[in-house]
Amino acid sequence: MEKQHKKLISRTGNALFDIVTYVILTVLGFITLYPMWYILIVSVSSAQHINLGDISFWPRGLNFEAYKIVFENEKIWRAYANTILYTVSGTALQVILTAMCAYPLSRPDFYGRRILSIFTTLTMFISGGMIPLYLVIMNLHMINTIWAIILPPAISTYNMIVMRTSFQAIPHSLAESAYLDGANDIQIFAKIILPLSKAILATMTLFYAVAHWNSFFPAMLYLNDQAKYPVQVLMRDIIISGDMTGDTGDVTGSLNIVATNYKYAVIIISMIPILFVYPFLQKHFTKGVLLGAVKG
Amino acid sequence: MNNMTKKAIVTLLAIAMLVSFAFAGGSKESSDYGDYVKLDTWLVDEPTTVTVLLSDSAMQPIKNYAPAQQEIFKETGIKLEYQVVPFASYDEKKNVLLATNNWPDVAYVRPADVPMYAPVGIFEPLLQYVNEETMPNFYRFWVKYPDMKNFLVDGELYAFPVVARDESANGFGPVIRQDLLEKHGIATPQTFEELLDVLDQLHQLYPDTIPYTGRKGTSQLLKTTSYMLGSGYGQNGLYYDHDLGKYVFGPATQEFKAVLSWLNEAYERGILDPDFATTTAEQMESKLSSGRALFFLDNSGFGVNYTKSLQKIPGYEDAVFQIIPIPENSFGQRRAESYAKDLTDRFYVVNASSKNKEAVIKLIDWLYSDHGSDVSNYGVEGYSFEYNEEGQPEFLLSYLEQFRDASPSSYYAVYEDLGVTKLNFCLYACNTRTWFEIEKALGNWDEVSDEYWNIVNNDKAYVPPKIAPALTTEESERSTDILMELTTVLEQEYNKYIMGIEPIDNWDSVIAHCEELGARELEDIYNTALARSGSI
Repeated sequence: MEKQHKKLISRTGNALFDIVTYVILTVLGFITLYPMWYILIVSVSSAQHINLGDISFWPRGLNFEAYKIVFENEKIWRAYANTILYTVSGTALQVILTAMCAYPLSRPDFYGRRILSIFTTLTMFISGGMIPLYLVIMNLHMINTIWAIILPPAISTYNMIVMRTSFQAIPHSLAESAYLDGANDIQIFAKIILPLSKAILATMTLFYAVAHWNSFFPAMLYLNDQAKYPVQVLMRDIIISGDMTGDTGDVTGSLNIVATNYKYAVIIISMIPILFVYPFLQKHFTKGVLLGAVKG
Repeated sequence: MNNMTKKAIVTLLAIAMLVSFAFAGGSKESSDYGDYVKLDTWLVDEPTTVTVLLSDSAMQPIKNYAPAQQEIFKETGIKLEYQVVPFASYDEKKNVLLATNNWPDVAYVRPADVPMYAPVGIFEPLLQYVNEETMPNFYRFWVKYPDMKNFLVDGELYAFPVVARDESANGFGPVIRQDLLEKHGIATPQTFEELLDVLDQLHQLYPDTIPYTGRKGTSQLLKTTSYMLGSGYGQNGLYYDHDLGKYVFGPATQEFKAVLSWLNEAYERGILDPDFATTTAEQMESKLSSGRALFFLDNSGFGVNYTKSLQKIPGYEDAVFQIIPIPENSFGQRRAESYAKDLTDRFYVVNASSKNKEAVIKLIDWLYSDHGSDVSNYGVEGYSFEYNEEGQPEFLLSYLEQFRDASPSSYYAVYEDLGVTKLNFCLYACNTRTWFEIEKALGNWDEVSDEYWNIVNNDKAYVPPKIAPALTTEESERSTDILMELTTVLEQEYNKYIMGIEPIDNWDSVIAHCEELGARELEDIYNTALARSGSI
């Protein structure tokens, strides 16, 4: 009897715990999703309702004018193509180079591993600064080329260390037995280590791709041709110039052309593709981060 | 070959292909000036390319090889190549390019850049060219506007100022819902006290509205109102008082109490937006163009746009935002400062290490000439404009027609298409002149705009702003230090007085504190520099 009673209490306790958890998660989910939802509904609402400020949960005065304007802007399409180019080529290069750097450093028998690790780690804390970096890139003749966008960030030290740790988790005896079978280092890396590390590779792909997709500063700094700009540079311009209208102190400033729904439509359009990458990589993602985390 | 290797090879090939696409895309533009015939008007022997760093805005994107630039090449033999940076990123990019001395032959800069970079030696000293022989067209303006001497840095000219051509200048001004005044038979307020009464009256009639709203917080509120109310704020407290003929640090004067008292009264009577300290430009626009707010005192040109948005809302078809003449302040003055009129705040510097300096100087002088100005403001004769009987350029209606319904406006679309006016590379530049002409030609000019410009142009209260005198490097550093300290202290004080937390009499202690921090020294620095520039 008493046992049953206890069971009942613990069951109610569990249920209560579940309810509280669900409530908290729902609230957190709402806080996270609402801003995105708001941007979406404002982008399809009419200017009048935006000005009146009466949009809260559902779009009002539904129209897709803003999207029409965005889609008709060929500059945005070209920039979009550039963003995809930089993201795809940049991410591929980054993942390859990071893996190639991480693997030797993960091997216990690698000569000078300690000193090299220290040097690489140092770059996380000390950097040359914007102007020296610009001068280096200028003297390498990379200004206004894709290389200025994809080469300087090719290896992120932090990601490299995560990857190295994950490689270290693979027993060294695997490599040793491969040696006995006559494999060389490159073969071991390509045929044994990489196939065993799909999770961490997926994670790194996601990290790098998102960073590339969102980055605007190097493009703004190193590219001179507008035809080469990624979409983030244009988006920043569209959003910021809206806030700056009327600042220039002349009549030209009195015309506010950047409507809120237009701005939000641009945000939605530039956000959606990268958002869709997450679900596909998610199964690897949690596993991958954990892999790197356990052994320090 | 196993799967893994194949995949890797395919990926690498794909990358290589994408990268080569990127390069192909960037290099096809260079020969867009086409064939040429050398004319007598050419400024150079061989076609010469001059590169220019420009910033463009979302309103008027700048492209290369527009009709005006083609015409400039045809007439002068100089090919303009623009390096265009978006407006929002311009400051960062320009600073890196200047700091690394890796910039085109010419660059557009803001006033503050000139004294900052001139001592480094990257800008070509220009006084050597400013004479009747080398630059006859620029020299004409140099003589006409003695104020240009204020642009000298340590006695040398480093930047060519853009001179405005027939500019109508508006400025901060009080703009009210005129239709409501007429509907309720309320007379246009003549003094700032009456203005509060009128807004109070409107508030009683429309209790759900915010009578007076603004944007960008307290400092903008002070920038817009202080001078009219008898003191001044400038950009950061220091301003030129046209009545006194000298620089004054506004917040450290007794007159400033009148500003704070008026704002405090507006706040306590529920007239001033209770969110005044945090409202953004976007919120202000949204409040005014939805009928939720009735009055603003800021760039008065906004009114015309708010009227247009408002009239689209059912029930607001007759709503009109209209400027009122500057009311009288408590000292019996009617005064306001307009935006820059003849001398703008745009400058072009010439790269001291440019190989084409001679061509650049000739081109710039040509752009200051009347004909150069016609081309860089009206485009191509016979294509976009023609000369009338008085020899003045006039747009061709047949050309303008295609931009009738353009976005954001017909005139910006024309400017963008032709590659002309102030926001392009133009030294003797139109802005309002061409704007009015285009809108009038297309029949877009309405009564509200007409009345607006009538009131602005006939209001004697407006005076054009004083060009700040050139400071020496030492003076400039000292004044920046003083201003920084003053701003830090004062920012915390204003709201207390506007919201009535502190009684206005306590402002005396703030004045004393400002004096301790060097407010008078700051005034002296500017007034000495002013006297010095007058004596050159």
